[in-house]
Amino acid sequence: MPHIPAIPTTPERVLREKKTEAKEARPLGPEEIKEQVTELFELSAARAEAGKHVREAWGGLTKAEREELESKGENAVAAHIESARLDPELIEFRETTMKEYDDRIAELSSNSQVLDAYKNRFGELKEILARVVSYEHLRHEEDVVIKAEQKLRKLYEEIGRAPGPIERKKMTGFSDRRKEIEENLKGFELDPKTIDMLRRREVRRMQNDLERYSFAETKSRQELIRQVLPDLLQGAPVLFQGETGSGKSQLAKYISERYLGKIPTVISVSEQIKESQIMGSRGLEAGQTVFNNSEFVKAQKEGRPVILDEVNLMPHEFAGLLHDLLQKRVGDVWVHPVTGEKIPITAPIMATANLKSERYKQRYELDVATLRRFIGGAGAREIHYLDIGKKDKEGNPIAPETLQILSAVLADRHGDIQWSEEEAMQKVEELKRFVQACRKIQEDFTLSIREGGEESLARGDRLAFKELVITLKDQIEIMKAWKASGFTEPLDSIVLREFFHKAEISGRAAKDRENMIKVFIANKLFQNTNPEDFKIQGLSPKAVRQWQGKE
Amino acid sequence: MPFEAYKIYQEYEPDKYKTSTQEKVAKALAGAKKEGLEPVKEALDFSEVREVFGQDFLGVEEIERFTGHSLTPEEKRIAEEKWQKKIEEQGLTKESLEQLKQEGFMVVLRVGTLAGKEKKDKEMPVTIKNLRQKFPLFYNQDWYDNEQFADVALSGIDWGIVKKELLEESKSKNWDEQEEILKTWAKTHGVQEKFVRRRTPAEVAYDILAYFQVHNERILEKDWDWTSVQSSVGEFVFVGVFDSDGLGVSLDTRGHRRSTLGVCPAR
Repeated sequence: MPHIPAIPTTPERVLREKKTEAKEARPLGPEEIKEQVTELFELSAARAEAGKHVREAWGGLTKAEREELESKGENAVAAHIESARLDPELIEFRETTMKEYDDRIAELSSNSQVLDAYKNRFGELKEILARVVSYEHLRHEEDVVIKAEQKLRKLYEEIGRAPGPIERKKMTGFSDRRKEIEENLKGFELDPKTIDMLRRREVRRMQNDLERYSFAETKSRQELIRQVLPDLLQGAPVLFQGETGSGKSQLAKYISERYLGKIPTVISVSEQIKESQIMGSRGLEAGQTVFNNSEFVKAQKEGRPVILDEVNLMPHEFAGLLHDLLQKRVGDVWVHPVTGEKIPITAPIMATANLKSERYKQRYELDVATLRRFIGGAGAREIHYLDIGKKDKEGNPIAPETLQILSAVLADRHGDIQWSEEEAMQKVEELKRFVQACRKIQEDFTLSIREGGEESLARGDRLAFKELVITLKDQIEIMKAWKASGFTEPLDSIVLREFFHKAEISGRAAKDRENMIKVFIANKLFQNTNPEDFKIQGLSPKAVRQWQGKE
Repeated sequence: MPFEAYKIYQEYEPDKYKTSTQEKVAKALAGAKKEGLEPVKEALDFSEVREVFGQDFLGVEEIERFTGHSLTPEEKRIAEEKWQKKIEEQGLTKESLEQLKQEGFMVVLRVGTLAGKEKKDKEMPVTIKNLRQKFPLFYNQDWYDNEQFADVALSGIDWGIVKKELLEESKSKNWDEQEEILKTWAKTHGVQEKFVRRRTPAEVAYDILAYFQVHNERILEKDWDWTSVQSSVGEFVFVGVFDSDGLGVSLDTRGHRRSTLGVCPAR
């Protein structure tokens, strides 16, 4: 079990700061103690967040720095507020809130019965945490060993040579360790409390990833990363193809930062791209002709991955410039075709391409020679909207990965959503219906893009979406707004405000929006919304009322 | 009391974490099964299916020989899981499998990876083009070189229960009429419509070539299996007529009928 250091609890620290301590007080009944300990836990957890808000309001100053500043006098404080353009009212609000937290924590924990009960429960939680950390450590090690095994195997495949006796021994070592870990995991005792904490930490990790990388690694994405990573580490290129908003570019950025440890250079490709944007251009510097490398070449030299966004838009004659480079791997040297400079390859090229409708295929398709180079690398992978096509045993559509991400958005940093027990069931239901509707829109959009014709769509209960779709990013923004409203507003009014009212578009997109409304109503949202409130040009009030079952 | 966020999605991952008690129950059930004490109906295992289908069962060993790709323990586990899922979902029993065998069906394990042509070559996904590259058994055609369907890979490990030759009544019918025939077939065989489908071009080619490589016997030698996939011009692709000239790939509009064009139901 890992060692968890014995640090004082929040109530103990608050009492110490207030230079007071817990005392014997009026004896409390067990129920009262339980209630007060629960409140103390909630306050202690929220206090950490309130502390962060105070620091933010002060432009990032820590408590010690604030105290030092205050010791210099009022003028110094005013000068800091002025120069950092801080809001004094916000500072006051944050500080008084923090003080109120401390006062209430001190009040509750001044009763020694309550403080002792709190410390006991805290001790229990520490033990659970130790178990959780050990379990996660084993899982992590298992993952590392599997990846190392895969990487070595790939290396030998690439060079087409059989491993020697020492290498074979190393590989056997990995495989033995993996079996050992699997055995350890089998013998791991998991009780409901440990599982609860494991789950909460999962939610927290997802929140951190969303905040840091705007990406969440769900099971299917993890599987995809596992498949392409060994090749990417060898410098092989990868192509992610998918519908608009399916997360291709975010995935490429995430892999680059998280797994390759490098900030990528992103190049947005367009039909107007020039050769100089790929290779660089000549210019004058102090009367001398110099060659200025492009961002693309600079990234190659600095060993940073390059993401070619929408590479399918690249004119075919320029794509040829990349062919040589796309075949290089780590350890190879690429010779710049203009300057003749020798650049060692240390990072892969990642590219994304939008899947276009049949109509646009000729114009916006990657040429076969380029495509082949990606397929010969880490592959040309299709990225679709999360959960598309997933069904439960009874054949009903389900969206587990989307729900996992949205739950993390709705939760606080402890993995809780501020829904009371009574309202939780109804809110979960509402959320699932919303996700269901979004999934249906994404599925129909995908089909519209692929098949193009309305004839094939009409064969099933499919609607044609030509331009608009509701992406995961849109869903996340809606969840954020719902959470910010304190869940007081019904979800459909948030959808109306955050999605439909934010962009009022006419023309073909208006038809898409009309179809979206139809899907949402079919999933029991907007049951009582006035047709005019949708603000969609040409939307027939009669049709809406029919969908709502009112006519 | 606030609501735990993970409760929204944990129902979809029932096996992710198990409490010690749940583990003990699972172990006890496994032990009971070994002792022959399991109360529920026992799932059909591979040896029984092999016994029923004989040479028409292309399982792990046969497919490893065909693709040149050795399945990892994880892949074998997935294959087993997928089989169990299929028989549960479709309510398959030993009796229903025996009937399918009599009707000319085979069971084939489909995997997503194909070894390269030479030992030094990299493994590749199973697509029409990669099959053609590995096995020089295709009729000499280039019309589909730039077609998207020829690059679409099998989605991974799964099982197919598929009729080796065309369903007689589907011949000389257009594509939509064949759809109706498949629905009727599902009804008469007591299986939900959604589980009876057409194959994709890659699946047809894979199944035919696998059977040939393992048994040196040709299936669909004279007929075409009309697939669910459209070409870039909107016509539906068919695969078959695997005679000595090689495996053919062609296409026709949905309204046409031919005496050699039908469908092999796949489950």
